[in-house]
Amino acid sequence: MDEDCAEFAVDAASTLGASFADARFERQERTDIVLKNGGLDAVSTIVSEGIGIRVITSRGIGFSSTNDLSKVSVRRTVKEAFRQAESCRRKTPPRLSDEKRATATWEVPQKENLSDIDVQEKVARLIEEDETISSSGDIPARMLIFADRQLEKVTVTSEGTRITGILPVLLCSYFLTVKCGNQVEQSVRRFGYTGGWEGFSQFDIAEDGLHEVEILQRLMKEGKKSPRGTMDLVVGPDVIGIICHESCGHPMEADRILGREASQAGASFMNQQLLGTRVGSDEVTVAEDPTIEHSFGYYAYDDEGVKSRRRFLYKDGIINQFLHNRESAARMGTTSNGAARSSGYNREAIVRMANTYLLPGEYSQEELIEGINHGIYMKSYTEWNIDDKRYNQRYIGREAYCIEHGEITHMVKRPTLEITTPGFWKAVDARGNDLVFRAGNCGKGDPIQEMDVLYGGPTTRLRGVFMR
Amino acid sequence: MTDHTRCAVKKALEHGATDVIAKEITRRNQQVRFSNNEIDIAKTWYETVLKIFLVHEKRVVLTEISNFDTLDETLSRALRLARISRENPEYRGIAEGPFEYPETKSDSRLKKITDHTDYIMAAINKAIEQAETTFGTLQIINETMALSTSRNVEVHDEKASIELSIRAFSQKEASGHSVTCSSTLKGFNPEKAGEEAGEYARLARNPEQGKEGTYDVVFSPLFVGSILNYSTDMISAFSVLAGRSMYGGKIGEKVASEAVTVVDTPAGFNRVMVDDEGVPTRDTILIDKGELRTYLHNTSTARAMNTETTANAGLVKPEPLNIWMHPGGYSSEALFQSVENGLYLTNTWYTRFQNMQTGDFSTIPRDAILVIKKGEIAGSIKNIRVSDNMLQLYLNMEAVGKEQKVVHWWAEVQFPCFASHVLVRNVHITRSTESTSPSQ
Repeated sequence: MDEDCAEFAVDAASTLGASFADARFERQERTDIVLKNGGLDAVSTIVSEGIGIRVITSRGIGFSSTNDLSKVSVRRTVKEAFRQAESCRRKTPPRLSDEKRATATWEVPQKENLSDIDVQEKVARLIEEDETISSSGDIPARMLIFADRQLEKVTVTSEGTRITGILPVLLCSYFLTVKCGNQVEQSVRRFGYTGGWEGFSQFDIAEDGLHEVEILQRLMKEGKKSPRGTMDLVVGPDVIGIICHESCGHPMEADRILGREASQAGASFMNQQLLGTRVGSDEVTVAEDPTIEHSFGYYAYDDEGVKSRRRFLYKDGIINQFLHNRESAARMGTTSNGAARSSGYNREAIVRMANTYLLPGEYSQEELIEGINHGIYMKSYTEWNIDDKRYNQRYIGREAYCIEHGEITHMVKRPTLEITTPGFWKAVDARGNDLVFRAGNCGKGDPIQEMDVLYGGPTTRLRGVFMR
Repeated sequence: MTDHTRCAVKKALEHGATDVIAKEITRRNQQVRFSNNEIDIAKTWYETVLKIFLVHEKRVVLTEISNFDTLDETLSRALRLARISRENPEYRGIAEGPFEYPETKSDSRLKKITDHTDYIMAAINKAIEQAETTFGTLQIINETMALSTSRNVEVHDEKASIELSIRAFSQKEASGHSVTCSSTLKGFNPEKAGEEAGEYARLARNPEQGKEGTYDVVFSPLFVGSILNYSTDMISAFSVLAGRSMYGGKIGEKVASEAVTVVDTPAGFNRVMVDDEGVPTRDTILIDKGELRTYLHNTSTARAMNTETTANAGLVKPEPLNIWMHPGGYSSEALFQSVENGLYLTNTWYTRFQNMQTGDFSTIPRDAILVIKKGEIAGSIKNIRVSDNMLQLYLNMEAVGKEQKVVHWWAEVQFPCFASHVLVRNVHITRSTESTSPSQ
């Protein structure tokens, strides 16, 4: 790995007069496979590498990157980052939080190394999964997308931090269009893992897809209109997971709160004065934890060289802790909690989530449902969205059922929950003892940086919410 | 200019490829991001990348390199992969050249910009005449492209553009957003964008909670651009074949009102002379007075559907170039005058579909959401959602404004658009609740 290149860049920046500089070298080997309607649309293999340099001066922050790693090119890139920093002409000089200097090497272990598995085998396994799913019903259109990446990264700072990391990643997703008579329903599902090829078997794509086809067919045959009105609601791990991500994780990103993302990925209804105030019931504790081994959002050190750790964003219903990188932490007078992530060497490291989830409780799913007289069980969702301040959200059920007198009675079509963030979290009344995660793809930054994340939680019960 | 790409094609054919496209892009792009009226960071990206699309007996492989010394090794690996891969049953080949191309040049002044602070401050200063704080991005693109194919294509092109996106706040929940996007410095107007963002922010002050219902709505060009992006991407033949489209099987059918004509054009912010197969780009009418005329095609999808390529080939799938909604005959004032009780929506984000074949969707207006009463702006509201059907929304487009604007913004308007104000009747609006009924 080219640690020398990163060292050279940081030294060059310091020589120019930077008050701080860091350099991130990355090398990536990537394979992508796309199956469309059973045919192999394309296979892609790419090896790429490059370096990104951040320079801080009293006048601003500059960033520059190149995929030409010759000394001449890296020196030019450092000079450009310095020039850009000086061009900012800030009235208030930029600062980063004070952090411990770190030296470490980390690597996610692989039982079956991704490089040892022939692409032919990867294609064959995908086709096998696809054929199993397609044999289960009338599926006029489908896509199955696979990617694996072997990422090597080196982070060097002018303060003496040296971090080397190796991160192998597997991800897969499918998109199905299922037909029944003249009706169609669609489903998209995503799977992610950090580690070797052994992760692919854990995805259980065919089993998951078969379940989805069966559910969508049942929905089209048997689904009834969903009742409207105020009622109790049970949401499955998929639903609570996306809500943890969208209406807890995102509003708790400190850079949004400071306005750093306001014109693109949006702002937040949060502010520093709200720390310590109530946002949900006592049942609500949302953790954000990049240290879960082999999780899709795993990292040992963030992209500023800060050690990763578990954070509690909401704790017992109280707004507890924002997510920070060194820039946002300095602006709020605190320290980073290791949330700086970048999608590549050519992107700045901004505040990102990793694995976000509601802590589980003690109830079985049956116990959660038997406590409901009239309500809905929304196990998974289709359309969803949330406003840019992360306050108004909507989730529409895909697999969903009516609950009457403590029992599931029949499937319902597209129950809709359209609710505010505090409205949702304050209605949480009980949590299941299950904890399930789903892989996600989070977009933020400009240019947009797509980030591997996981979100999840237990089956969760809410009291008295309006459904339509 | 085409030395690398020509060499890549020659070597790939020697290795046994049957179709090859090699495309080299060299970029020096800059971006400045600002918030709270100050610059946060200024960036420059240098990149040269050679992308290679190669086919061996209907087996498609994509690869890329940044170090030309690795070409032989990369091609050898890619062809080995192609040989052990499987046929793409939908693959039908690439375009047969040679073609003739017009002589084009990008604006050389955009290559020389190194100090961007004045542009940003011009926008900020104009916005804060009516607002308090501003947030945004300035981006300058300078790219050269060389393309060679195994079907007698050799061409090079260059592209430059400048754009500024600014969001202004007059209060915590009162904001306005505007953009200025141009392929020439002459067409770039940061002051005007700042002024518009500031004006929207002023008009949005003291918003009240919005109410559910069915409204006549005037959509701004930025909002229309977002809608055009999501819907035009569904006109790509790739989307149709993948089931990700509400336009499948609808060629020749009415998919919008007669007021709507949508054209894909190479002339605009994303000025592109050729597609990724080397076919000279051209105007393609997609929706003609409400009738769907064609999908966006590359050679392969066109042959599969017994038609001609529309010169929209990307290396992976057909994509729009610049989306142009033809202007109508109405001034913006005339559109507002046609609304007795309605809304003016100036921006949106998070457009999501329940089902991409039926078109059921919702999207969340952001920034100024203004109330129209008897043709005049009469206050602002907040916290609403457009919850409707996309095909129905197009059918309900009653009138299109005559003043056009180029819009391109972040992930919401990825394909640049020429868009006007559009009046849409009977738009369904919903809102979030604290817990009980939305009417309470």
